[in-house]
Amino acid sequence: MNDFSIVLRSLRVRLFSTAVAVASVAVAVALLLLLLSLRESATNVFRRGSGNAHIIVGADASPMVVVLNGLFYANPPARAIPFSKLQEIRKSFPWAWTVATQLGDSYHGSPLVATESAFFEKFEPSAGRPWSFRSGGSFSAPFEVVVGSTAAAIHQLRVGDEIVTTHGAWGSREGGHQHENHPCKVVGILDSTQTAHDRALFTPLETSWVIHAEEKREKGHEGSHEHLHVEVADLQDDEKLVTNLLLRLPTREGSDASAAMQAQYDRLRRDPTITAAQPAQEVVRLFAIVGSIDEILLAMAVAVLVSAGIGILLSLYNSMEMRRRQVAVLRVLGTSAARIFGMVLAEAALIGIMGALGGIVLSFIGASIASAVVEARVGLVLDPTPTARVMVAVIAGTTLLSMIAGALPALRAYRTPVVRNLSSLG
Amino acid sequence: MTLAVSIDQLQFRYPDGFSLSVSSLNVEDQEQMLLAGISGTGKSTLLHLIAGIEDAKSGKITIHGTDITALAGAARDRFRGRWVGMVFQTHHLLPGFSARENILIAMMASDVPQSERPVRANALLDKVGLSSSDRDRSADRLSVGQQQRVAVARAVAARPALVLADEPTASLDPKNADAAIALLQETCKAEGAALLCTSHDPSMRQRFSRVVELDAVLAGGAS
Repeated sequence: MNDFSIVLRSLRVRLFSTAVAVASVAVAVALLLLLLSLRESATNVFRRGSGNAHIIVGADASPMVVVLNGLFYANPPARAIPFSKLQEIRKSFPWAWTVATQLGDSYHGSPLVATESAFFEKFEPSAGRPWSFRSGGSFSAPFEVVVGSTAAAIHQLRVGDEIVTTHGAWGSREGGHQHENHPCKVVGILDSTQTAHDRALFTPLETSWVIHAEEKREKGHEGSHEHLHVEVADLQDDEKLVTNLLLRLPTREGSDASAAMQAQYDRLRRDPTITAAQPAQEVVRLFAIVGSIDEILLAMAVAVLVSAGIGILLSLYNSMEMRRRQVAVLRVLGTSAARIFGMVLAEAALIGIMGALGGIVLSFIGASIASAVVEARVGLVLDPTPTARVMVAVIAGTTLLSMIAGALPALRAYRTPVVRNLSSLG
Repeated sequence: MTLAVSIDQLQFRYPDGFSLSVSSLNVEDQEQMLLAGISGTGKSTLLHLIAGIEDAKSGKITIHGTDITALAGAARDRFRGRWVGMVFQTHHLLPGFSARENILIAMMASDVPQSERPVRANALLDKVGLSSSDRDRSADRLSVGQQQRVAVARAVAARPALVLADEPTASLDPKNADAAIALLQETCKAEGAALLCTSHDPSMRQRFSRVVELDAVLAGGAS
């Protein structure tokens, strides 16, 4: 026997109250870890997902909406950029590259992004990490489709499959009007980028332009049942709609910054017909806005942890009332008051350590559920698994908090009068 | 020859006014002595002072050559754990711990090497007659008689110089009381420990070669 085995036995003798104290600490730790790691993971996803475009141009009302719709596919943009404006912007500066996109259609709720081949050649979904294909390759002709990794998994799509896209209907599996006259063929499946792009499908701009031009022209010939076939070459400029334009300025090798950045951004911002946004800046602004909610949630998790600490205090303090005789006997058997103090502190610390370990396990379970739900509902691939550094910090912090909670019961044990609790008459 | 206990000019006072004054009292090495007196006269208080769990106002209490009143805090606790064993009226075994573990805990302050402690615990439980099947049962599930046996074995587990027994038979019927005191005396003798026992029961006197009335000690100093 030694002090540690006495501590373990004391915890085992009070199994129920020990288990309740450990469980309350575990729940608090799991909540705290989950919130911390979800925040970290969400921040990473948004920072990563803004990609390597310096500026995004759209026709939505505010720069943040342009970024959320154009890069994170929150909603289909409400308005389009005229083709003439697109050409004007492209010619206005010697950009490193430009990529136009058009959003609006979908496939069983997953957004369909009509774009150019430069989207896969120049644009990187997360800066420094270009696209890679799990199977197949990029599109080379209209009515070919490349599928993001999450979308491929959800809809069980493979290279060679044929799909019919839907007008609008983002986030809805029911769908609206289907473009039945123009089925598209899956030619590539992308590797996961852990960004919102994973839940999208990609097709050439011409696919969307032709489909919508045909439908527009058919509406103009109501009463006629004849299908109006439109070729790419027949397209008018007003039928070549885009919703966003991604821009990158020339930079020195190894650098992401451009000296002309601010001047070009300000120039585009002054144009009243478009809305220009810097994706990286908008993500920072987004986190500044949600940061206060985040802090409230964190404060709540800390409050739960503190209440678990109070639970440890009460559990040990109440047990000291029943253990006065045990303490007195241990003192008679040669255990000093300081050692008794240490034993009660060790009991509190063990409850904290067991709670922290239980909390880590719970947070792993919670993280896998949360990431599955977020991926299924929003399409963002979160990885809210706490890092080793966070886990060590949480175990150390929880142990310290438990020991602080155990200090008062330990002091009570330290000051237990020996003679009064031996109850012999003399 | 070293005295097991030597008390010199001991003064003690409770906050409520109860006081105790012993000018001199010695217990020889391996001697067995009964400190007799009616309840409430201070027998238990004197044992607590000797054990160092009460603080004397003045005077000296020397146990096995060490003045326990000169020791403070943890040093006094360690000394008590090593050199003084105690048996109480209500046994005071640690609940939740088995009989064997109660003995092992008492050996934590002893010089008995770690590797020998389980063997010694079993040997002591053999000696007091606790069956093998009862040794790993929680102490609070043992009968009163079994608890008494474990308490005796625990008192000598650390190979103390002195065992203090405070009314060890007060809660037992005469037949069991006789057996319990016999066991205590035999065990102390076998382990080479002196025994200082308090009792208000007159029938206990015949079992001890030396009986000291507390009143006599308080009056002028028995030695």
